[in-house]
Amino acid sequence: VAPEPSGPGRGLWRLYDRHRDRVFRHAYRLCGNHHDAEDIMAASFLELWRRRKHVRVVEGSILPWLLVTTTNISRNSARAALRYQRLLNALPRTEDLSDPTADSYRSYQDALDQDFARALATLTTEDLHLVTLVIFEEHTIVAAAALLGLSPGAAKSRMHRARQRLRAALDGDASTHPPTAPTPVLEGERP
Amino acid sequence: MNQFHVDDLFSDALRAELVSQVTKEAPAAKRRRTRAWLGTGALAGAGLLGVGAAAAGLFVIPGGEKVTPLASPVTRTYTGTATVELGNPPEGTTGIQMEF
Repeated sequence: VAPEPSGPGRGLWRLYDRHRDRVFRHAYRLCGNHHDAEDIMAASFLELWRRRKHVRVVEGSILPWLLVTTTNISRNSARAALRYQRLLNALPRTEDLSDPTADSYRSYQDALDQDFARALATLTTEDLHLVTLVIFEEHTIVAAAALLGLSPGAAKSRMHRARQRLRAALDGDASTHPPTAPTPVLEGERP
Repeated sequence: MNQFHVDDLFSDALRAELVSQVTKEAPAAKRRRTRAWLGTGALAGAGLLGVGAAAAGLFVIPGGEKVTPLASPVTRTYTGTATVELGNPPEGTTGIQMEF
């Protein structure tokens, strides 16, 4: 692991280390593809630096802003990727030598991940932001509403509709992918 | 399960790139600030110069009145009725100005 720099880049270095994994997991959740998730995660952090004057801090953290940006980038990935395309292509990657089709667990998991990404794609961008912040990242509805510029009441009713839509999208797949269909998002109702 | 983790090689390179963007930006921001200050200074200087010049009467508003003193002022002190000798009017005189 490279040593932490002492100059002006240290702050961004620390933020990256702190939030990298959650941003990556969120990006992966949205696209269901490892390579694309890396690109989206990288673009989110590059946007964090480029738009640093406009970042909104919620409850002392920039993570909610990062997650919303990640969602936006994954929805406009063509446009966002274009800005950083050269840079992203220049970053080195470990070649994945294992053939995903050879590993049955892996291919099944990939199929589930992509189903889940497709279900999330049925939500509107605003609803996806809410689901991300409230269900996946366990922020309060009030905090999420503040970040998204909604009233808590409006956020709550949006959440309710988003859950229903997500449930419908996932149930639609239940016939083709029996009981193991990923439903953690529907477990543990929050107040 | 490696699809749930960022590739270390990629991650390290990205982190280095982020830090290099910050360090690249730092001197540029300083230069921009210096330029902004210089610009503001130049503007303020030009403004002051304009005000000074206007006060000194270097500019005449088109169609405005232009006063050119032709003779040196004559200052006398009197009480009661008096006659002030102004001498011969210089060439081109069109009026006199009096102050009490």
